[in-house]
Amino acid sequence: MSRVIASKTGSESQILAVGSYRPKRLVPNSEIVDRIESSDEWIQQRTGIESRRFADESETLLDMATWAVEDALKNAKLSITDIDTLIVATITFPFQAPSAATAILQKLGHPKAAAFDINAACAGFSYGVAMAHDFIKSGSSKTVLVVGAEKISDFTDPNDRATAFIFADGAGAVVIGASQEAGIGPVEWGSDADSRDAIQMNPSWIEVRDVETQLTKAGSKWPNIVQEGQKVFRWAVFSMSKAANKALESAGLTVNDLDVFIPHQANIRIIESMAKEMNMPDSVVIADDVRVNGNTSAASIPLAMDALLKKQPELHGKLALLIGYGAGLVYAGQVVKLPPKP
Amino acid sequence: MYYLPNYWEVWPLFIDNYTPVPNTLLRMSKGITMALSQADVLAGIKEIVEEVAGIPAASIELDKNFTDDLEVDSLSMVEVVVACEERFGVKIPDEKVTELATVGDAVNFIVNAAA
Repeated sequence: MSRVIASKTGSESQILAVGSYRPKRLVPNSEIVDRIESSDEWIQQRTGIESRRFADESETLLDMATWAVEDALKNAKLSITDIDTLIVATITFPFQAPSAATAILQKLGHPKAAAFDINAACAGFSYGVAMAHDFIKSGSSKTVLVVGAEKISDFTDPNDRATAFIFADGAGAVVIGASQEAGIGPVEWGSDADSRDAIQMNPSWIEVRDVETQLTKAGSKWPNIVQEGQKVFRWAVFSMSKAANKALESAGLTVNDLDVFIPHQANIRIIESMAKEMNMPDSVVIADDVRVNGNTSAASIPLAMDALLKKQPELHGKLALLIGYGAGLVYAGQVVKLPPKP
Repeated sequence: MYYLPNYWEVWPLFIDNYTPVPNTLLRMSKGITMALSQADVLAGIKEIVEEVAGIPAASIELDKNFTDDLEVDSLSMVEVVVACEERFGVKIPDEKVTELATVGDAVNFIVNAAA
C-alpha cells in the first residue's frame, strides 16, 4: 500500500492592519551633537535626521513590541487569540533565548501560537512579511502578526561619530490574513554576504564574557552597532534600487503603478537617491519618517507606514513598495496593498 | 540624480568611429574604450560633480580637493564615484575612494584604469 503525506494549500494574503509604539522621549540633534563634536546642520545634511526617539527604562523592547501588537490588533478588530503565528524581527532583544515572540504571547495571554524571532536586521520586517505571506499561501498559517521592534539605543555608543545620530528606538506591527486577491506581491530578496562587516555588532558574547571574567586582556567592550557609512550608502542606493525594481517586476507592476514608496528609513539621502535612481514619478508618496524618528532598523517600515496612514488616511488600500535592507548585508522587498481604514 | 549620459553624448569620448552600441557593451569592452585623455576625463568629472553636488564646473580644477575645496561630502563622493564608473567604464573599489583626495587623483586613477 502506498502511503502519501497529505498537503495543504492556503490563499492569497493581505495586510489587515498596522500598529505602532513610539517612545515618549523625542531627542533633537542639539542634545547629541556635543558628545560627537558635530552639528545639527551636518547631521541633517547627511541623513535628513532632525530628531529621534529613545526609549527609557519604562519602555523595554518587549513593552514596545507588545504595545505595537495591541495597537495593530485593535485596528484589525481582532484579538490575540485570532493569531496563529507571531514573527518578531529584531536585533536588539537582549536575551539569546527564548525568543521575544514567545514573551509577547505570554504577556498577552495567548501562549499557543507558533512564535519565533528572525534576525535580518533592518530588512527583518520585509523578511517577516514575505514569510507570513508564504505561510498563509501554503496553508501553514491563517492569521500572522509580524512585528519589527528595536531598542538600538542599548547597543549604540553615544560617542560614536558614525552612528550616534542615526539609530533610534520603536516598534511597529502588522496583522496579515487571508484574502481573495493578492494583497502582497512576491518577495525579491537576497544578500551580499561578502559585506558582512559593513554593519555589525561586535564583539561576540563569548568575548564579552571573557573580558568580564578576566580571561582576556582585551578592553571591555559592549557589542555596539558600527557601520561603514559610504559602503552601505553605495550598496543601498545602487543595489537596492535594482532589487526594488525587481520586486515591482515580480508583482507585474512598474513605478508608474505605485502610489506609495516605503523603504527602510535609514537615511533621507539614501531614500531620495533610490527614488531618483528608480525614476519614481512625483505622484508617488515617499515615506520620510526618518527625519523625525531616526533609523529604527526592523521597526522602521511599519512605523513609517503607520505614520503615513495617520497623516494621509486616503492612502489606505493603496499600492505600496516596501524594501528593507541592512546588516548582513541582506534585503527583501515586495509590493503590498496598504491596510484598509480601521 | 547624478548625470547618466546617453551613449551618443559620450560616444566621442571613447572612439573616433561613431557607431551606436549599447551602454553595457561600452562598459564591458575595455578594448573599445581605448585610452582616455586627461582632458576628456576632467571634462566628464566636472559635469558629474556639478550634477551630483551642484558645484559650478568652472570652479573644478585638477588641484582642487573634493572635501576641503569643493565641499563634496562623503555620500556625494560615493555618487560621484558610481557615476564615474558608469561613464568611463572603470571600477573604483571602496578602498580606493578614500585615496582620491583631489580631482587630479581621480582623473589619474580613471585614465590609468581605463588604459
